[in-house]
Order: sequence, then C-alpha cells, then structure tokens
Amino acid sequence: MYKSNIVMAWRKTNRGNYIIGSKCKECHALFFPSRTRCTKCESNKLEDYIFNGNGKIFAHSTVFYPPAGLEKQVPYTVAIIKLDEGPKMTAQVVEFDDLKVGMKVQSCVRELYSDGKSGIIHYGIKFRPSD
Amino acid sequence: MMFIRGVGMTKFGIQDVPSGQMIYESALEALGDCGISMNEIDAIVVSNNDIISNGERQRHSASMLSSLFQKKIPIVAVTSGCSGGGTALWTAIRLQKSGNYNNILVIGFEKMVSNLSSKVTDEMLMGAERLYEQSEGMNFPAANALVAQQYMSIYDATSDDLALVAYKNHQNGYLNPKARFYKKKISIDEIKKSPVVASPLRLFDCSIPANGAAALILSKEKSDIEVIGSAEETDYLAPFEREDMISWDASKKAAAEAYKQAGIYPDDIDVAELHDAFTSVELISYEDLGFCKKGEAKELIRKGITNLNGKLPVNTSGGLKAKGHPISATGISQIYELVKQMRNEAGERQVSNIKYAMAQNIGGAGSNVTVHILKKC
Repeated sequence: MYKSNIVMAWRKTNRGNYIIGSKCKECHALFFPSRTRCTKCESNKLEDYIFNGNGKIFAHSTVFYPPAGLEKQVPYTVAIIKLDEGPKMTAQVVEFDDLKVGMKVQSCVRELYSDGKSGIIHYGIKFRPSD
Repeated sequence: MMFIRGVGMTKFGIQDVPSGQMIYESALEALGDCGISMNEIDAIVVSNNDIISNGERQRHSASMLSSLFQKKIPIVAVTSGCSGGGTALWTAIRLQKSGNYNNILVIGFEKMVSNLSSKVTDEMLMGAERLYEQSEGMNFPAANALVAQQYMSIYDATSDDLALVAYKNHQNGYLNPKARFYKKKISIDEIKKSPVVASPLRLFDCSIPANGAAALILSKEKSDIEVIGSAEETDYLAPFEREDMISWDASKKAAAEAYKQAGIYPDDIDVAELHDAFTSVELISYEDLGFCKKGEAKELIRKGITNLNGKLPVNTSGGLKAKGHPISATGISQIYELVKQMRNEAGERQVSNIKYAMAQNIGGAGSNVTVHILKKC
C-alpha cells in the first residue's frame, strides 16, 4: 500500500509512522505486507495497521555491487528488521557507526533513488539506530 | 518406476550461438547416449527463463522446440527460476506416470552471457521478490548474504569455510571439460582476496552465469539408472517472510519426501550435486538434506568429507560455482553429472562405488526446491 505511494502513506499516518500493514479483526494477527485475507484464520475482515516503526536488526549485509538504479549509493547496507509487533521487513539501514544484530532501530523516510536530474524522486522506508 | 536412459549437455561457457543450436547439441548427445532416434520421443518437457535481453526473446519455447525437431508431439514448458531444470524433470516424471508416454525428452537451456552483466543481473532478479526487497536495494547476492550473515553468526562458520566450498568446487570444475572453469586454476588465496559483493559474500562465493543446455531421456524402459525419489516443495518468495531463514523448509521437505519414496536415508547417498548458487547455500544444504546436524556443515567442509576423495563427494562437476549456472539448464546438468559418475564415465573426477546419488536444485533463495534420488541398477 505505502509501496505504491509513500507520500500518501506519509500523509495518511500523520507524517510520523508510515509502515502500513494489516491486522485481522478476528484473530488480531498482524501482517506485513498488507493482506486482504488472514492466512492464520482465513477471515477476510482485515484493517490497515500502522506499525510503530521500531524494531531490531535481524540480519544485515553491505552491498558493493547493486542492482540497476542504485549505483550511486554504493556501498549501502540492507537489513532484515524484526518489527516490535512481530512481522519482519527488508530495508536499508542508514546513519549508523557500527551495525550489530539485535540493535534497536526506527524507521524514517528517505530517498531510495531518483529517475535522473529532472525525474521523479522515489521515497521509501529506511531504518536508523534509535538509541 | 522411471529410468534415465540417456543424458547430454553442451559445454557451459560463453559460446555465442543461438539457443536452438545448444538445445540440438544436448538432445542429440542424449539420444546418442541411449541409441534411440528422435522418432521414439513421444513428449518433451522444456524449461527456459525467456531471457529478453539475449536477442532471442522467445516466450514460446515449446513451439520453438517443435520447429527445431520438426516434431508434432505434446511439448510442455515449465519455468521456475533457477530450479527450472529440476522442475522440468519432476513434471516429466508425473507425465510419464500417466502412462501415455514411453520416452520423454527433458531439456533445460539458457543463453545469458551475451549481454551487459547489469542486464543479466536484472533478468536473474526476476526470480526474486521485487516489490518489497529489490526496491530496497536487494539483489540475489544480498538476499543470500543476509542468510549467510545470520547463519555464520549463529553457528560460528567463517569466511574461510565458505572459501573452502569455493575451492573444492573449483578443483572439481578444473577436471570437468564441460565446466566454464575447466582447466582454470583458482587458488584459495584468489578466493579469499576477491572483492566483497554483499558482505559476508565475496565474488568467489557466487556462482557464475553461463550459456548452455542440458538434456535427458526419461523412459519406462529399464536402464541402468533408476529414479527412485522425486520431490518438489515451495516456500515464500522473500527470506524476510520466513520464520527461520537459515534452514530452508522447501529443501528439508523435498528431501524428506524423496528419501521416503526411495526408502533410504541420508547416510546412503554416495554422491550429490547440490545447488551452490552461493557457497553458503551449499553449507546450509548439507544440513537441510540431512548429511549432518544443524550447525555442523562447517565440519564436513573442514574435514574434506565432501571433497572428491571424501566419504560424500558433493558437486563433482564443479557445481554452479565452477561448472557455471545457465539457470534452467542447471538442474538437468546435475543429473548429467550423476549419471556419468554412476556409469564410471566421469574421467579424471570419477568417484568410486556409487549406488545412490542425489540432485538438489533450488530456485530463488530457497523459494523452490526439487530433490531427485537416482539408483544404479
């Protein structure tokens, strides 16, 4: 959801927390990415759930040979973040000195890449140390 | 059960020839291997990734084969990323069980090394999660690096252990005339000093793209190679979706099912071709396939148990690492190697006394896995 329009998600979430997933109204299971059907209890009653953006580093890697479009950012660090509420997600980590598994991080909106000088700037979620 | 009558494959390399030529070459070798003609083939299963940047851009590989062989028979195409070859064999076995076909030709082919590596990389990434991973800067090395980072920190495996896997497979590939790295010496020092691609993985922890095709003939008719186990399992696309990243459910489940069908245990396997897309994947696979306990893969590689002269030689062909990895051809080329080994036709890399052999083919970072067990009759 936020994926298709981070700017909309940013507005929708009062410009603070912007990781939107789903919560099952029946069994309260949380999902990231969003779902329209609960894979735990099969209910189709789900609502948007806004994660608080806090989590811990689950695994990390620093990339030196990037996919197309991210050449200028090299080297950058990607991580799997375990959100405090449970689900995991993949994102870049920024503004750190020494990255360790288990380190507390919080989400922030950052530029992911841009389509040249006059093109669109694509925004996304990254994480930074929270302590 | 099913039998493999003949196998064939092109050299895996940088030859710039049309896919059709590679398909033909591998198929003719497989037909010649069992002394039958194309007229005796009554169905074909083909796997290919429809790589759009190689100048061929042919989505209808089934009909392409019909033209190529001038055959109007059932031809079915299956695509499954890097596990396409294994999945084609799995599909062919089910097709044969239907009872309608005597000899099925199974082919995997890919033409990758004829373009910019950035384009080839993007093509390969079509086999991984795009929306929630790649836009964040993930590619295949990074996805596997995250898995490797966690695995190594939990089980105290080191970069040196990964280097040993690469070194072993390059030593084997050195002896395999069909390998991209045939007769190319790679020292342990070169491996350890190669540039970091995505930490902790270095360049020599990654497999290498290649052009190539591989073929086999699956038959009801008894031959010296019987397929006694065939399983396929699938897991979620992205590692972050999984509860446990460092043990791959699809691998474990496919292996368990294949062992069950075969009525044998991991200890019984004499030689194996595993999907070493990254050196870390080979280590994790030792555990997932039951060759050792969780966390003990490093002991297998340190003690040389999976070396050519070890108790369980793994990737005698050189593996994806040194033989090369032409995506959909890889799974069939694993069977090619096992059949050559079981028939004592593996030349300088021959291992002895093989009764049971295993091939494990993986698509994505553990997203799709096929396991096949062969028996020497």
